[in-house]
Amino acid sequence: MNIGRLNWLGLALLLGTFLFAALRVISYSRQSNDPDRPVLRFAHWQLEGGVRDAFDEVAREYMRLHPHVRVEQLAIPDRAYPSWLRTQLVGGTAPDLIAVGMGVTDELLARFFTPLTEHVEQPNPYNQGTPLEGLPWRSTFVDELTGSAFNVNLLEYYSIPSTLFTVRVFYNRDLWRSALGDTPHPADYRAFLAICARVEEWARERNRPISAISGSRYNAPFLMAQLFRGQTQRLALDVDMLRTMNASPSELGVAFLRGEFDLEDDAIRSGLTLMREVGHHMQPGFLQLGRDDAMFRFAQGTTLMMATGSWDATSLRQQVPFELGVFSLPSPAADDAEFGRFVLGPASEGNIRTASGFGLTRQSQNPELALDFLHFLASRPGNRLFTGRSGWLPAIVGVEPDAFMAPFVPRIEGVPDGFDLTLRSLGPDLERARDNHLHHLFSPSGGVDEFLRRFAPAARSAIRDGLRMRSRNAGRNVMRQDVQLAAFHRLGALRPDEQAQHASRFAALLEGQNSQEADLIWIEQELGRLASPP
Amino acid sequence: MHTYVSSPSRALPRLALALAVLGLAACSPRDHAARSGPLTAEQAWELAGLSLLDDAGRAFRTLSSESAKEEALFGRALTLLVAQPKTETNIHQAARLLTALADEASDPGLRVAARYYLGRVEQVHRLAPDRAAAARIYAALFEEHPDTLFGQLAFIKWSLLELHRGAAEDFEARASAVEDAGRLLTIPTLRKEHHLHLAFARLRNGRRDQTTLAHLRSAVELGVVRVNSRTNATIALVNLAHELGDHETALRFGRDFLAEFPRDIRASRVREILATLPSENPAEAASS
Repeated sequence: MNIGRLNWLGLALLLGTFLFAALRVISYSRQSNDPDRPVLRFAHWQLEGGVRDAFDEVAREYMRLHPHVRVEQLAIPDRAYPSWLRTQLVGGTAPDLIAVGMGVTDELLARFFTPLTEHVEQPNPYNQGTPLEGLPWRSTFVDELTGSAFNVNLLEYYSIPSTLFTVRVFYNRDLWRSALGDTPHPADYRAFLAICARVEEWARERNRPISAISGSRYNAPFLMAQLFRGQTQRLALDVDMLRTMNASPSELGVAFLRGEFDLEDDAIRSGLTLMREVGHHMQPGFLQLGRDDAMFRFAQGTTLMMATGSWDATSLRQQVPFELGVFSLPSPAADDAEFGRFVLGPASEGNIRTASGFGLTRQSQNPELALDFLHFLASRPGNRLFTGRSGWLPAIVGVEPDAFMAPFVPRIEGVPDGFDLTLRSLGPDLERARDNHLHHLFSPSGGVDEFLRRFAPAARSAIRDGLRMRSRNAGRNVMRQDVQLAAFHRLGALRPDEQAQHASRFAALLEGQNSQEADLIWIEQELGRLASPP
Repeated sequence: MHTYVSSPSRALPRLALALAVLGLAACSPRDHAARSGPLTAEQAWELAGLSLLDDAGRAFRTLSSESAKEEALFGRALTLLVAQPKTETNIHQAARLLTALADEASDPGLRVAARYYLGRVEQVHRLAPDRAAAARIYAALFEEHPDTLFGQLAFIKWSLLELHRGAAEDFEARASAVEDAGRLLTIPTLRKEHHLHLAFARLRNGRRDQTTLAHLRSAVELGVVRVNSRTNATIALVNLAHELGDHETALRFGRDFLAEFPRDIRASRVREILATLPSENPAEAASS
């Protein structure tokens, strides 16, 4: 075939594709622009089992209540979501409602999303006839929307959540019964270790390749970080210079550099010992495995347990060929002879906030309708439908989770947790330093001493870098806030009837700015002091 | 050897491709300003309030109304400070505009605001910040305009610099100076900021004493706005009051905390503290 023919074939293919796409667009536009049946589209990245069905069910019920409306769901894979989202927003083709979180920056929020602040202070009409009738919408959420729904930099509510997430240990009930009989769930760390040892012994006797825990670089940290944090509960209070019982990453970093604690501290060594012990009950090489590998081994029945979040509950229930059980992550009890002296008690999960929220785009052709659908989705009846089908935890007060999810309900009673090796996510350098050396903790020839010998020098410099990064980030925020503060002040002066509103935004933003500014000046002062010789 | 020659069979696909590119370019979204023409000063400030600072900068540049001239200059100066990429030229030009406004603006409030932002230029916006210069501008502004919002705000910024400089041994003297000067503040929001940051600076310097407690209490009573800041300030107050034996304060603010934040991870700790206080424990109260 000569080049000329190939060119014509290519052109024909191009034209054919163009025509097909054009016809699709025209047909879609006609549907979308049908004034008698507006189309409402919402997009998200939650492809876990049951979630799309749950959204479909909510949409069907909404369409039953409003037969003139058509609701469409767009489920986008999480890997493509950030770029898809940006393309849609910038291209002016965004759907009415978009799941906010992955890839949505403050700038995108401000530019492309409608603030929902005035709406969250009004009652949700779909709560009529329920005990939530007449309450401000905000007060009908289990956390009163104190989580990511409110953007602390823009001082507005931008999304409406539908769930919250917790982490638990899933186990294979069939395997549990075979290996452990009617042994109850472990009440603490010792009982958990005993169960790990028993199931492995049972497997060895039968020559079956079974590990107690399905680990991976995704799953293992859920369990290990919690054990480590339990050991630093007292230490976190000792270095809590502001007496808030919630030392920030910067405070922990400065306390470390000041020498108020170090990696040789008994509590830190004890936390690492726990991590090593638990790591030995995961399959060999678990640090090299990903989320899907751990899930696959668990589903195959070659591990008894796996720690993961409530977001995976429905997928697991659909995929595994055995009965699933769930229990809370175990921690050493306060009376544990070896580890108890560092523990204050079970950690509270009261700081877990609602998540997975939808924002209303400014490009929405039917913003009132989109808001109405959001009202329905986050009403007591709507959230009950969503929760019942998705198996996720409810975000609305008074909606009961399904029986399987009961163990996932956040535990409010408890004490503030300690910190992990990343000092509550001080910065990426510290996480990288930890990850680079973590295999020394688990290797047969390694251990706590070997890990610390490798990690300690890297940690000190990574903590300094983390503090510098935080200071730089705070500086950038402070600069932008300078302009916003002037804006609120001038708007108050130019529009006397809105003065109170702008004064209140000025006060809130100034509080945030001063707090960040004090932190950054203090960090720089401490870094300067600690760098100079005494 | 193959020679490439332009031929009709190749030109047509190229033409199609060129047309497609032109078509795409024609369909690309245009910016807000281009669609809707020049904005008013209020609209430009609205964009700035939403943190859409590039758009706000463009809007201020296109403001033509004579009545909004000073507003436009002020807006232009501030948006130049955050324009990307950050350049010495932009910062220098912003400082020049602010200086002109500080000297000549017809609105006295704008003159004070411009001087305040000259302090901000020195402290945070310059590529090589000069905190000492900023502190001098803030101190002078507060001295000359102690009754204005930006005069008092300048004091708060000066105090943050003052509390976090120098040797640890000098802290008490600097904190006392800040404390004394802060008595002139009259705006409740700024008084609260003063007490809050003085208390936290004292705590960072190891001062767990009655003075710190008094500042924390004043801040919480004046009203901390943000939820996270309010929980932290109230918990710090309850803890410190408990440590110092001020049962009345621990009890009052502990109860307030539990009423407002029953789900907070520190609620159980507050309940523990309250349970140890005499008025929550009738037997102990009777014996004491």
